[in-house]
Amino acid sequence: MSELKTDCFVDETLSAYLDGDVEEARREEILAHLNDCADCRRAMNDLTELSTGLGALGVEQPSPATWSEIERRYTSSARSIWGGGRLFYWLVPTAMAAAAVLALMLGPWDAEQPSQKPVADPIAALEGVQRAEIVYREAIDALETVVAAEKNGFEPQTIRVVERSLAEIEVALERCREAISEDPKNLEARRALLAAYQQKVDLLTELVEQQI
Amino acid sequence: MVVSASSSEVDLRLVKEARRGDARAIEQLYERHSGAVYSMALRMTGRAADAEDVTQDTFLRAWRSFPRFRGKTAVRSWLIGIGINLCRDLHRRKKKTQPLKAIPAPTDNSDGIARRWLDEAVRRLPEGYREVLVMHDVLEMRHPEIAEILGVSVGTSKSQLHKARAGMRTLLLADRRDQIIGETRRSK
Repeated sequence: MSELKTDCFVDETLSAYLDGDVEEARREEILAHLNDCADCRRAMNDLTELSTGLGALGVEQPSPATWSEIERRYTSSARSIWGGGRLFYWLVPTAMAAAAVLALMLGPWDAEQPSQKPVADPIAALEGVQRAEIVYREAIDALETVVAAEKNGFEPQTIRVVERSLAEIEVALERCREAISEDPKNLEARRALLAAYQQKVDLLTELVEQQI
Repeated sequence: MVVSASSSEVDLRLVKEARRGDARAIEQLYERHSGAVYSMALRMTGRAADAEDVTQDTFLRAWRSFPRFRGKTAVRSWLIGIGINLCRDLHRRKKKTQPLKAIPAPTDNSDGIARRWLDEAVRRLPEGYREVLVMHDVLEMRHPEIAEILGVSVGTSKSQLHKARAGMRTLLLADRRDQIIGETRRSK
């Protein structure tokens, strides 16, 4: 039998009363009853004493060594990321933001059904795409630098799978570059290029995060 | 220890900065929330060394997950949730080898219930009750936040708290009886 169950109240009443979680009218009833009933008063006193004691335990702080160890572990494992790749956390979101702005300018794009809707400002859209390409290439360079530095830490199987995927993305990128080379104002080809860059960023990011 | 709206905004800004590689932001997040995470872990594991390991792993795991954190929950709730899962993992690994400790008396020379007794009594509760009790009564968190961390309804959080308190009172009454019996025997 629950030691907070008395003959007078259902189980959760006293606990709710302690937390002020009962309606005012009910609160008055309980208070009046506590004045008359020794059993309930004892239960309420114990409950209050326990709750007060637990509250007094309060928030404690870990030793200074805890932070030192955290700092040591993330510094040593992320040195190649934080160092040459401090770009990593800046460029990747920036690349994604560039892509998002581009999406707003050009509208939603579906690889299977490229949009036929004309762009409001083709010149501005083209400039936006070119800026996004630069950001993506910088993000990919930073990520590839990190991956190269950490290569010995990856499983051989992982490296093989990633290299295969990167090769497929590179084929798609090459096709886009050829299309752009034939027609520099081909926005669809440039969008496809950015989508392939994003795939490459996602793949490399996932690989790098495994090593953190 | 309610998380205010402005406190949440500070936390979200720090997470954004941490995502960009700002080591100082990570340190500030640690300064703001390590006490809550550590205290939770200490009450759950009962050992300072284990609680420090959990705290370290919580912040390292959080650092890895910053790019994916979307801000749908408060940062403190998110961190405590990571800490709780790590405590559960630790408990599962250590369950079979956990030694029994001598139970201290509920009262000592100080006023109120002895701190050592409270520490041990909390440890004797089932894990689920202990989590809610520590978050509510020790860390002074509110049921909506507790429910969100544990993935339960507010009603379930309240019910678990009640059961935890009932369990604590059961332990208190039993240990008080034992203490009185022990003192009576010693005085003879």
